[in-house]
Amino acid sequence: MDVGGRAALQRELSALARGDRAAFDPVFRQVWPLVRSFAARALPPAEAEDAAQEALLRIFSRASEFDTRRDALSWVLGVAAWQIRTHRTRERRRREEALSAAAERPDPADSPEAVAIARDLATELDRALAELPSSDAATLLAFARGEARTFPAQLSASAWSGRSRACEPSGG
Amino acid sequence: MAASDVFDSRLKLSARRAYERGRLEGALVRGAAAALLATPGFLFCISYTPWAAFCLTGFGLVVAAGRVRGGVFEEGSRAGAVAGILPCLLPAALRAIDPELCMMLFSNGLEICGIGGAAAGIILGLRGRLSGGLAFWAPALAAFGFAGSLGCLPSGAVGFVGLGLGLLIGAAPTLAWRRAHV
Repeated sequence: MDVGGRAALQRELSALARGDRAAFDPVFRQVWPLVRSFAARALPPAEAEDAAQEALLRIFSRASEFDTRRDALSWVLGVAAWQIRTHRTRERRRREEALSAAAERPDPADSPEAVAIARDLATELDRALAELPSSDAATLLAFARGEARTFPAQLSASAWSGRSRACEPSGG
Repeated sequence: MAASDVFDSRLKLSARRAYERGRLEGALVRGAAAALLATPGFLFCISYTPWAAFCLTGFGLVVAAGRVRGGVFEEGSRAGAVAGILPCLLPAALRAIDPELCMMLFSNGLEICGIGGAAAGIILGLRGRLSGGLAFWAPALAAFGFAGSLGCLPSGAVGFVGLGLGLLIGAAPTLAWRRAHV
């Protein structure tokens, strides 16, 4: 901003602080590009626009408190810098909270270990059932599915030996 | 109209609202502070009347309205508040020193309110805008009237006469002197 623009900002912002609403448009025209470029230098592009808008609104909400003896440009940039810092802190906290919330959320899927154990058990069960006579295997499966209400009292001898084998720890 | 123009006009509207909201918030704080400052005038020296409450509220509102409106109006309400606070707090100060003295003085309220009014008149004459017109003098006299009334209510009508006369006696020569020298 050149010397003339700076003097104009001083004049117009002082008038706005005194309550002269006619000075609003000139101040807006001068301050918005200034705050926007300031935010663009301080923040990543995705956040700069939001932060610039927040800073602009903050500047205007506090414009009545502007001490006309102070330098207008310094005051504007000071308020903008404070607001940008607040925005940055808020965004960082939001990201941290999102990360910690994701870490605390339990994974609904089974763990890899549980999946491997279940797969091994299924393989062993299939192998044991394959060694049984088909009628015994069908009876046991029906009981497992709940289709047979009581455990079959009479299974062939191979079914019992197969059952005991299936219950033995594998790989031993 | 381009999208950026629409965006800018919306942003400008939001900024204008933020400005007015900030101004109103500041005005409410100042109005409350002014009313708080005048509260001793309300609390002491038998001022517990609906009229006293009305004057206290009016004083706060004039100061707040002056801040919201800004410009000459704000200057006027501020000058009136500064001038009116003296006759407003005089009874409270007297009561704090000696309640008997307070009652005795305010039974003859013409003089004591006249003194307060004259002092306020000098302050208004010195702070007043010579070319302010109604925009300056209306809020100035309103703020002075509400604040000064708080102090002179215990004296009744005589006190208000004293306050008005004192104001004229204090303000007229001060303004004449300023006109001659400015």
